[in-house]
Amino acid sequence: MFDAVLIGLSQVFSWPAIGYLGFGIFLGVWLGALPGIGGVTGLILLLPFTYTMEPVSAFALMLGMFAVTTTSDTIASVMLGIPGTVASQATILDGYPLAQMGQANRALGAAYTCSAIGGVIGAVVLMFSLPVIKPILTLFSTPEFFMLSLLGICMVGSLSGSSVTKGLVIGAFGMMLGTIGEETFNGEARYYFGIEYMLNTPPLVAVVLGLFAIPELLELATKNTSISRVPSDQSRGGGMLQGIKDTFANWWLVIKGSVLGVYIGMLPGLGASIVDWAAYGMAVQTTKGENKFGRGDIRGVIAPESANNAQRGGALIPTLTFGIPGDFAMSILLGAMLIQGLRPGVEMLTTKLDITFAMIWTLIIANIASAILLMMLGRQVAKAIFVDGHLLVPVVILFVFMGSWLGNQSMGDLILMWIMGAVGLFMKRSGWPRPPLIIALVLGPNMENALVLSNRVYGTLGWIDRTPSLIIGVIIVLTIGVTALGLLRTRRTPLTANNSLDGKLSIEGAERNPLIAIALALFFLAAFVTAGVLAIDFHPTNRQYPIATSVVAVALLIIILVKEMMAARAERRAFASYAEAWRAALDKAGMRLGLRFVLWIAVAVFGAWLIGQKLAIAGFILAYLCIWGKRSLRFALIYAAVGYLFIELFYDRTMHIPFQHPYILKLIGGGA
Amino acid sequence: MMKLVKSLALAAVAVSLLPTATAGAAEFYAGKKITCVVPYAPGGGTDSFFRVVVPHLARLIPGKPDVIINNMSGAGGLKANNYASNEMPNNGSEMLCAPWLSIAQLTKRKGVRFDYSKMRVVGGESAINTAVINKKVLVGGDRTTIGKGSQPLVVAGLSPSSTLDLRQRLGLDVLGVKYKYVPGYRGSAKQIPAFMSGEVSLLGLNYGTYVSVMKSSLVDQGPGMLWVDYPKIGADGSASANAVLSKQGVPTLDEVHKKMHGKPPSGPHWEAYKVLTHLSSMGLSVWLPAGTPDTAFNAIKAGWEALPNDPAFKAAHEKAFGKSVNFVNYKGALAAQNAVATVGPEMVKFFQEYIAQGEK
Repeated sequence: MFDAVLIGLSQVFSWPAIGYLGFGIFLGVWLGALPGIGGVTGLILLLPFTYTMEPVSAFALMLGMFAVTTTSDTIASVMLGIPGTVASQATILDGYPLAQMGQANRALGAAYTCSAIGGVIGAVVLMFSLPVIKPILTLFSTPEFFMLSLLGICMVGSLSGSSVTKGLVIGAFGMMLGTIGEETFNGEARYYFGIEYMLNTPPLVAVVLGLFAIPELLELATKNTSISRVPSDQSRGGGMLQGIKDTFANWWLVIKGSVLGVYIGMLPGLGASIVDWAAYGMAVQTTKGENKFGRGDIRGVIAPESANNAQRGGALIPTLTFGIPGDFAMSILLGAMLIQGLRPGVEMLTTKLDITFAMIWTLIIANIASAILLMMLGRQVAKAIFVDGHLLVPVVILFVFMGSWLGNQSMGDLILMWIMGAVGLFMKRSGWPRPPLIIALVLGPNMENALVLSNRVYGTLGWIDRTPSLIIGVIIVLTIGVTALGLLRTRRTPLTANNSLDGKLSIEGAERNPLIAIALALFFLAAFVTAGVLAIDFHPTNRQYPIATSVVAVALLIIILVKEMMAARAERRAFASYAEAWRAALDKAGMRLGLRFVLWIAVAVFGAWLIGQKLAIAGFILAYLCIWGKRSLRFALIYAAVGYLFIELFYDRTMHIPFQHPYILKLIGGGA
Repeated sequence: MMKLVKSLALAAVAVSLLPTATAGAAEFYAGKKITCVVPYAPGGGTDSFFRVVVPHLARLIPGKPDVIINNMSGAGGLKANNYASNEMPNNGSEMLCAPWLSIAQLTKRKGVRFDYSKMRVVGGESAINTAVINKKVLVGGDRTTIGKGSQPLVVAGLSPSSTLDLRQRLGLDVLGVKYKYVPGYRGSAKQIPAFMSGEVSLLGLNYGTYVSVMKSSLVDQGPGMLWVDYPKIGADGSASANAVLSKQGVPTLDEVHKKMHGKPPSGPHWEAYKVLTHLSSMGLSVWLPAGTPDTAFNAIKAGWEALPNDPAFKAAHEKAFGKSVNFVNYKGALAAQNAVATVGPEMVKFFQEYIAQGEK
């Protein structure tokens, strides 16, 4: 085995593998930093180039790229409050407030350091797990996957900020979104309405980008500010070195996050979309004493960033040993292995062990090299937080639009992104936490599928006394207990936007606006009642989950409505009428400008359908800079032209992404 | 003499026409791009197959166009099929590279807007259909004792309307074996752990997937063995064994039936099974939209039909899937396409009811 370790290392350092590894790292850093692209897109992009390569070179390129996107994705999460990839969603909760306090460099320094450590831990665990993994994997059957999903859902409490009730409703909303489509045991399409797009579960990327990006972009567009709410000369304690020190000061959290990342990666179906939330939840639940989670606590960056890099190594374990792809990215890697003539399983642990170790070395080298590279670039990158927000909005819109489009190349995804943007805006401005929606959307379909399968195989709840399920059940009870204790602590020191930087920080679930909250609660109430009623016509097995979810959500919504109405009544006393109070609430939430911005996004989506994305996005950039940004036409034209060229050269010519056929061409008879 | 002159003249004309025709086809795709629309996400079996095919197909189509893959996943493959049938440009710039969803069309599955009879089939490949079974379902490894072992017979399914599931269920019903069918195990990430842990005991798959992905975990490291060879049924009703499987001692379904019951299979399930073999005689296939010009069609067809004899492609396919590919040429594909129209309404009703039974 030791020979294989050395042979693997020498293969990675031999030419041309080392060259491909370097290129992969460079590409991964770049792709991870662009919101909405990430490692999966990178794998799809690189796959055709690997057909004629030797296996070690092919995987140096692919794994080198893939391993580092979870390091560079921190940039968008910290700097923009927009998840760079699905693996860095939780990083925004504390990373973005740190950037707003002028401490982006500190957050990035910590993130790069713990990403490298997490990535190396993931690779080392992969190395030592290979021979002994079978008993662990065979221990987990479908009931255990249900229990693990349930455990994940239980983290909603710790991700709900100061309002657990609202968090639970949002979680239920995420679960309901997850029931759309035909991912049922028998292929029955739920909430289909004869629309082909509705045969699928809503894609995560479009939901995440809409929910998080649009509200943050609106902040930049309407508050006429840079990301940092403090000027560069007033930012203190935010150096990269401080971030590195923070990481080593929290070494136990790094280890815990990494180990959690490896195990989540190892278990099929959980994967990258959930790992950062799980690590964040773990950090919140296990931190003793005073904390500032959600308000710029560096530990809120360290935990998810350690975990998401470690997850890569963990995910490779079942892929290499049993051909079980834990997530979508692993499916692509598995496909690449087949094309290379590599068979997952015994072969990778015996005759091809050197190639397996070459993959492990690739992970280790890529994680360390990318962290060093990003630290070298860090000072320049961090300057972006002091750039005028109006200059950032157009370029981020470009990535949000193209990121939403990439997955399915469907106008439905752009519309979904827009709808989630509008919902996210209302949620943010009235204290509804957004993370539970994502966690429930990811875990909900898995949970329902596992429950249905378990009940059909073992009989209804006939699996409940399985030892592994019971152990996870105990962990669930402990998690709920710890969360409840944490909530009691938080109640004593309420989390509000007003206790730092005069309410300028973007704190999840902290804003208070009872009238807007009531409007949103009524919207959710209508949605849940409609969904529950429609579910009555589904197959008996397929109706249980949406009806149960609706009933629970409606009960919680009634509690929320009562609470918010009491608060609204108190506010009403300050105004002559409810109409005046409503106007004041809209002003307080900045909804007039907000809805105007949402309308602009709607026009851009419509434009994408009518004239195609390239012209629509360029047109948006031009109009935005002239009207919102008050820039000169010449400047706006140059910016728009650069945006157009970027789409043309990168997305079209390099990635070969099919674009929307402009409807206008159909009208004039020139298109397909 | 005149005859010879005539023959020579005709030959001269034929020879002079031959390069012109080839040049015409070559000219059509020279410097052009063809997009191969795959209805599933990258990394799966369909995608991997076409990723192996595409570079060689590009080389073999006259004019050597660039051929790229566009993964248009969604709605269990319906989205890309609907697109190909209704919206795909018919100028030869795009083609559908997909599993043949004949059952979905025949049983009018929700969301189906495609009609294969209006499209132009180029060719396809024929999969070797088999399954892996947990040895504990049998007694002493004897296939005729299925269902009598220490482990209950639980079939892991994808969805009741999938061809793979219909084949497993019909096969077991033909044998008259009691089993529990559990659909909803979508993808190897769910199937492999469930099989390895003993939660399910029968898993249908094609032989390519078995060799390339599942053999090591399910058989070499797991409790499984190959179950039966689901044979193709000829026009005369006779079953033909697959050489690859029979070499490994895997009997055909009808052979197991004969051993169990002392007679060849018969009855409604066997009749439905026979129809299903025709409706799945082509696994993965290549289609062009109606109205595609003959020049484009013929060029792609020429490329497809050159693949089976191309040494570079054969080597690449064997490297990836551990076996040679069974190609279905244009003639065979056309026969498969036409077979759908020959299925009577009673059989369609049978399939619809059988699918509904699987949902209970």
